[in-house]
Amino acid sequence: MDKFDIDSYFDEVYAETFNSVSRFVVSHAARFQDAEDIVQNVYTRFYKRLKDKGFADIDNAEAFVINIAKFECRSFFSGFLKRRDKMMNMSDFDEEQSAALEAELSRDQKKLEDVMSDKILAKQIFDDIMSDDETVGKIFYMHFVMDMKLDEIANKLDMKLSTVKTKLYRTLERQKKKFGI
Amino acid sequence: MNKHDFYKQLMSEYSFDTDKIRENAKKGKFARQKISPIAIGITAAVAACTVACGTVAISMMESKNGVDLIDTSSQSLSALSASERVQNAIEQQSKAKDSEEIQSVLVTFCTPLSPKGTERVLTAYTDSNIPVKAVYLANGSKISGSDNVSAVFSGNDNISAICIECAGSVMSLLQSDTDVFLVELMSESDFDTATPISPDEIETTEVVIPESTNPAPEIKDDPIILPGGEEIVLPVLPETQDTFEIIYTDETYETVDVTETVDFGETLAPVETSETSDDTETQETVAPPVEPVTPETEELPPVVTPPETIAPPETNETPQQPVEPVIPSDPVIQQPPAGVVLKPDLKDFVYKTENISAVSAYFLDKNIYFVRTADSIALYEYYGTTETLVDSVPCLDSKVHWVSEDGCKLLVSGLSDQGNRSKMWLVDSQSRGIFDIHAEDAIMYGNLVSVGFDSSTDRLFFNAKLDGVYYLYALSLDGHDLSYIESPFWSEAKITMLGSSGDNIYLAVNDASLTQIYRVNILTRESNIIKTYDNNPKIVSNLAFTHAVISPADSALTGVIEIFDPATESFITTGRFDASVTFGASKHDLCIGGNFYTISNGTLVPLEPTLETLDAIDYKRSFSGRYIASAVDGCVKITSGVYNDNNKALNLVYGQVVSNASERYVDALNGAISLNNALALGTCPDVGIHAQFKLIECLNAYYSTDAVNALVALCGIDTNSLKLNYTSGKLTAVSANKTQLVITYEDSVSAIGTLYIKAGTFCGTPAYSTANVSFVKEDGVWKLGNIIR
Repeated sequence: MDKFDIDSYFDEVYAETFNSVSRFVVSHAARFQDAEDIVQNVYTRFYKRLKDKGFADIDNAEAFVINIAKFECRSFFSGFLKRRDKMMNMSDFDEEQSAALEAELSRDQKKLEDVMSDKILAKQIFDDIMSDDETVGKIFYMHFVMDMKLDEIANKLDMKLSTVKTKLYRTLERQKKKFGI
Repeated sequence: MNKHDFYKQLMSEYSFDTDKIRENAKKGKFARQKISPIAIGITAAVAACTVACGTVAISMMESKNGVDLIDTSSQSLSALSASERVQNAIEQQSKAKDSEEIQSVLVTFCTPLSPKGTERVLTAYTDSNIPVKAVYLANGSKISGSDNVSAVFSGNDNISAICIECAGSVMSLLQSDTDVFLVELMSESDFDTATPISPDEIETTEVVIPESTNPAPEIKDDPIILPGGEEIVLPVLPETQDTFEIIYTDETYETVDVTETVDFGETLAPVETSETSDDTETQETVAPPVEPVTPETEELPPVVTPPETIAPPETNETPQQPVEPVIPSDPVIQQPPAGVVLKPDLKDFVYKTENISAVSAYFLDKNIYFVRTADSIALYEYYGTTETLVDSVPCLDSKVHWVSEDGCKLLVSGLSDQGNRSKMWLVDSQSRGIFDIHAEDAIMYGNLVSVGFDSSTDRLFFNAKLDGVYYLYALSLDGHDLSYIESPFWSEAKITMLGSSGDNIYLAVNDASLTQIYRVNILTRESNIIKTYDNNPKIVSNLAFTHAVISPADSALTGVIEIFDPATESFITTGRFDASVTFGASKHDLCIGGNFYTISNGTLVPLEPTLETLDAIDYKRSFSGRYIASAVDGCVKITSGVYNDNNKALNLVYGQVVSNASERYVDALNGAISLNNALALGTCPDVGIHAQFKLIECLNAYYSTDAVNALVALCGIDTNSLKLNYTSGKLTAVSANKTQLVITYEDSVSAIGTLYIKAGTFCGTPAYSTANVSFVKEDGVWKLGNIIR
């Protein structure tokens, strides 16, 4: 099997599976900060496998790659225990504040498009999210990218719903003050 | 754009650099570990040496308290190799990082520095008036004495090393300087004998960074800078050879595979075997559950000496002291009455199933037995008449890794559909089922090398090999559900698990000719070396995963077998060089060369064996008191068990017994036993005794008058009745072929002795119940003088 075939196959699978793999990794990695490294290793391992053994025996590429992701999540930074250890008890976010923030999330703000096009500022905002405790980035990713509801996230991360809400809303509030968004 | 969309786009765009990941994947690049502070703190050549130590060293450096890489603390620097000095220095710096004690420290520079450069390095971390004991110049000379040292610093000679006095905590600060090669403690004796080492002397001779045409990968933490200015990052996973290679001049990097198979008979299961040098995945040769073996030990049990204290029967003749048995010149052999066929031997109970392709079988509890075939494992139930299938699952090449001490649970691995050993089942006779615990979720496409289960914590440990690397997985087994805890250790060198205690698991890492025993905390991943062997010992853990046996290598001429006790971290010496050591399923009881011990508080305590303890050690025979199962020609053969309540209630004598009785006593005894059995089992008609008078005639033929009277009374035999009528009298049937008669006294008309009745063979050792017997000569014929009790 020539390299072209493998590259084509890999690119195809990569495009098809990246979202599911990255979501899986974010869900299972102990730290969101490690997710990119883990995804990197998943696809490196996958590509290496294609080079060594081809892909004729792979029926379901997504399942295959997710299986590798399972392993990487566990062997790389292994999360289950850590995640449990990091359960926090935080006071409930004020219901009124929650409602206000929810409303604000859905309100159009032209300024945000400008912020997004300012790559430096956008990266600063992203880094600010990531600089918080390691579950915050994960909560943001799950909620905004994976469209998971907060109670689903809470369940997935073994956290109280109030903790998830608090982390999300507190970060949004901080960013509002810090970056004016 | 609303804020929700904003964050969606932000997190989508910045969380993953998809282009970079794709391109790196195609280049075979793996992500790198974030370097731990100590690794960042050390400089180039030290780092190179650390890398040279391999993954193991990296794991060690991640530990919080440092690691005893080599126990060199008490050795002078001149006695150590360059590499050992580097490792020693790392350890010293770790230990001294919080120390304010003033010590003599030798600071060696990567390249010789000018006096100004030396001053800059030293004063950056210490006072400007730092005491200098000696200066080592680039030309090899050593300068000491305050005036001479002052002259050096006002001159132009380059300095390769300097001995100063500073607080221990300064060592690691100095080590972090990029101009510093090594900082090590220097004793008074070192001051006279040791010289600085050169970065060229360390074992790592070349650090090759391949793919130089590719852009350097993004490094998220401080890289380690090599003397030549190259940067490396310590890998977290072994795939880092994709980013650089360490090449050794002596090729010690190559893992030398070592056979760790230990032949402890067939009782220890998890034995790890050697692996071929081409890194072909091979499986441990776990001894499968086997059919009961002929109970023979290499070392014969002690011969039971006939007791000398039994009083001879009162006779008119003067009692004599025990004497050598007298071979009579005119043996008088009693013949059975006409029509009576004596049957002194009892038939053993045997039940045989149909051919189910059984490879091995044994009972897990009273009535449930486990069967392995070539492609399945199954549980059957047997209640004395026929067997019933309880549960069965397909399982290719099954291997038993763990047996609970009570025998009710087993952990069995098998091959997956892809052919790798990643499947595992919990066989639970109490739950009457075989449960897939989905070990493949952890093992993936790797191969399970060995398994340990700590029943006190319900933690399951996998040692799996994946892509040439051994990974240790710690998991929790809750009922039949497996959940992941941590992967606290990995190594390219072969890992053997020794046992666990609390949160610690103990491993042997065998790299080349060195075997290092590690303590690894499964929660913190902290690892420490607790012992090092340089002679490739054979290591195998017991089934219960509570101890390990460390034996001298096959090629060793000397050495001693040690038992490792994780609870106390003791290496208990047995004083034996090559004895067989058997734990079976027992946690702490073991058999060493036929002698029994228990491990208590890190010591070996001689044990008076009971059938309960032997039952666990002898687990392969049966955990049922009633039955023993074995595989014969694909069928399961079920016979009577020996670990039964009757035997447990007896005061058994262990050891080999040899009969010394002459034929006249044996014939009398066998005749009496035949009648004893006919009464006990109610089978008189079967041996030709159909009438009461015939019974009495038979009794009189083989029992003395006194004994007959006792039996008549005991079994309710009416001597005036014509009709056969008797009770068992609670007599116990005895099979003559399982008896040994030891005569301790005899004269012309009487003899006394002990009848040893074999209860079975336990852990290879025969055991007997005993009964006192006497013989008297009546009417010229030898007869048994008492009832067998």
